[in-house]
Amino acid sequence: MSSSFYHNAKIDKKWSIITILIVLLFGIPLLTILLKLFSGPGESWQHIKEYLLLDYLFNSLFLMVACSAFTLTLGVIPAWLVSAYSFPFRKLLQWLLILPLAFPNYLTAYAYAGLFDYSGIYEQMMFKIFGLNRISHVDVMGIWGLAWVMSFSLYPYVYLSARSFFTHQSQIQMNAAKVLGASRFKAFYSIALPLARPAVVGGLLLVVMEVLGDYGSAYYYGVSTYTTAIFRSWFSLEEPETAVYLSAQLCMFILFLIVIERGLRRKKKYQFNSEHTRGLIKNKPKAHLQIIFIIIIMIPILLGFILPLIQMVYWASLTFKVVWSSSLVTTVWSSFYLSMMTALISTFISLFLIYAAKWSRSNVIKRLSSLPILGYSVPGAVIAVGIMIPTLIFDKWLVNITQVYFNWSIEFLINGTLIGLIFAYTVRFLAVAYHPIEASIQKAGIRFDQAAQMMGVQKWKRMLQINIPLNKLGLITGFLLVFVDTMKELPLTLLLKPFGIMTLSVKAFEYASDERIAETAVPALFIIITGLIPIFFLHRMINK
Amino acid sequence: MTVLNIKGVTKSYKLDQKHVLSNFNFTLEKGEICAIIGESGAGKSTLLKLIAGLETSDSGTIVIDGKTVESASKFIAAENRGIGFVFQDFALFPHMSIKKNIGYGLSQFPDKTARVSEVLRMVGLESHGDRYPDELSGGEQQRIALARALAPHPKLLLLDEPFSNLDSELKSQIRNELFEIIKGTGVSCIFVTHDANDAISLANKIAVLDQGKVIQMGTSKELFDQPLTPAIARFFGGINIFSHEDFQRFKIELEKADFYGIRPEQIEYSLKPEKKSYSAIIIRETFHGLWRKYKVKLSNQIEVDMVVDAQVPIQGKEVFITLPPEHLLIFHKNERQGKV
Repeated sequence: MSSSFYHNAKIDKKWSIITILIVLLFGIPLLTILLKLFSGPGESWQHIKEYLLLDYLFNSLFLMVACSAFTLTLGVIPAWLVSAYSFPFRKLLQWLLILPLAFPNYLTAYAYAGLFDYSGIYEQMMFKIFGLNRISHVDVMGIWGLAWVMSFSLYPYVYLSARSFFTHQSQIQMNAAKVLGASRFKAFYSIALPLARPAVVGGLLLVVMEVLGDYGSAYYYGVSTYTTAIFRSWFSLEEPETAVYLSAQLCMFILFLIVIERGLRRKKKYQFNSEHTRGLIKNKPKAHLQIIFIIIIMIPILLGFILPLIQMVYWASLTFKVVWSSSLVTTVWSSFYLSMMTALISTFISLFLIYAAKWSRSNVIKRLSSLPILGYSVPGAVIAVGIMIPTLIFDKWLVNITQVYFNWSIEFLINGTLIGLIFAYTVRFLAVAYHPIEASIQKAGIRFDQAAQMMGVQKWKRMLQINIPLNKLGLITGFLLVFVDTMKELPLTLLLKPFGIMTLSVKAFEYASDERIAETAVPALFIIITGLIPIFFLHRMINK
Repeated sequence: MTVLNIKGVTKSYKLDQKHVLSNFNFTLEKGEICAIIGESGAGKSTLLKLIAGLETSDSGTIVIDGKTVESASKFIAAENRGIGFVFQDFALFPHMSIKKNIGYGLSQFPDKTARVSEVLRMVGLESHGDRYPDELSGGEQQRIALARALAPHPKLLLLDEPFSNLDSELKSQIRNELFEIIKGTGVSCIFVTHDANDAISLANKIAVLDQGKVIQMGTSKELFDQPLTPAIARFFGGINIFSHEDFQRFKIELEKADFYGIRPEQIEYSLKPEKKSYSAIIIRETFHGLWRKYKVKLSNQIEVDMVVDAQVPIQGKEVFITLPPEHLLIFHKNERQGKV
């Protein structure tokens, strides 16, 4: 912010200052973490480095690579089939394919642990069919199992970005390949797929961020990763410095991945002239191929949604009476309340930042305003650690000051309170609201806002009467996506949840940790059913 | 009285650093209707946005109705400038009824409902107040967009390519209706157009923009009779342009210039040789309804276009043409002119 910025008459200072304040506030956790890189780790670091670090590194990288490969297979193939061919139930399948998004990956992991358990549905079926001489026991509880199971719930990220690219892909390129003698299959792998690469890599990046940020699944499957190590240093070794140091390393690694992805995208930017962009013409394959396609598409749906859902419903039927109590109602309410507040605040801040950028005449503000969405790329546990440290300092200072000057004794304001938790959620999920709202505003264009401006209407009134009503669908989508993501969130909640507050995700985690895995089903089903609502909106928005 | 005074305004976009407008000067008097013409990329729409306050200039001053709205130390936002703007695609709010659309800018008005009815009556759509924009035809939407812009009694009305979204049959009818309304209100008005008919028939002043500068400004008659460049001449209709060397072959005594021109309608012809006429062979004939256009090759090897009444086509292959010196246009190369 140069002095010319402050003296520039053409800049709206009120909006600019609020934007800068938001950016600073959202930057605190990330900066806290990154600065810790320089101040060094705690005492146990030496031990971790010698005996454990290699394990963390290997496991995290393995999961990253394996999940990328699995989600690529599970996501891209169905995306191509539903975009390029016409067959019965195509539209229904297209939407069923995104349903696994309703499952947080730790719930899918619990469900699979149960499915393949010695007393699980799979073993029972095998016993019924083959009797005592069981064919084989499938052990999912390991790193390979974990990679597969996480991929079942994460492939929709790849599927969605690939499908969105394929449906908007120009038929012209495909026609050009065809007249040059390429079969439809050849055109797929030589033209469509390479062109889709930047979009698919964008989806993969989301997968990788989820994998690296996961705590619930890895902990239950007994796989030590960077994120489990952060928890371990914090809780078992009681060494926050080391937790922060590990967080900083993880954070750097993810930022590095983002930079690479951006670079790849910049290099390979395939933009089609809208006039020539006609969606792909859908071929109708022969009847037997149609059946094969439907079967191929059913595989990820079955693995990612139907099987885990069956397991959860089965468990819920067994444990419902035990789990259902007044305290569960309170838990449901806390989860709803937290998600609602986070979603409202995130939607509001996103809207503010987007219009502050649009209305600002300063390039500095335009650039700054999109910085807060970086929080989405930082794992929940890392954000939690990054918020805990500065808020503790702030709260202690505040308690001190009020004690000394006013002789009041107050409680902590942010650290370990609902305010702190909601702030952390907002830092983490702002981007989830920001993107659909921005897309909607981009689509509607700025002309209605300008028309209102020319009629002498001030900013807030324009926002309420023109911009909010016109971008309703985008705002609702953004709101719901944050709502569900907050509901599903586990590692951040575990670290920052105020004493005495329980959420559905933490409840499920606690049951699983107590080896009462069947009991996870009731809170899990609440999360999953809530998660289905925004998927419907998301689907509508993509199809528009 | 001067309604708009633009002094030394420069504007460039970050991307290419090229000046869209450079050291731009312009004034508009009260009640004047000015058309801004020029090729695409000449800076026409940017000019309107700068006046409106939807964009900011890099330097220069804009004064509206005696009040500085933009200078190095001052910027009045678009919403506080009191300017009416009709957007190219109308930008009617799709979620509001016509009445609400028009009343939207009238929150300061004591009797909002009466003013809405008044402007609706003015554009002849009293019965459409409760409808929504998507229920109206293109022409009706256009009229509502104008009504909405005029409702708050703006000091200045800006229209960005107001007729480009209408089909040509509708266009001439609506064009005249709209400008009758605008003239009736007495508001000063600037409109951007790429259609010569719009400019000639509606504006009492035309400004030609080229590469961010006004290269000629005047009444439509002045611009038609004395265009400064061949490009301006071409904007108002077909023209034959001759280079200095080619023109020498006509052996007409005229002021020395870089280019000469004559409109096809102003070339005279006869079937027999006359004094100072040139024999010519018809090489192509095209029919245009009310008139016919001929391309002829003169004995001095120069090809020209000429136009005759469609009812009296030229019989035979040979004609004799004369170029009346009073209709000949002369053009000088000038630094101020970008393209010739």
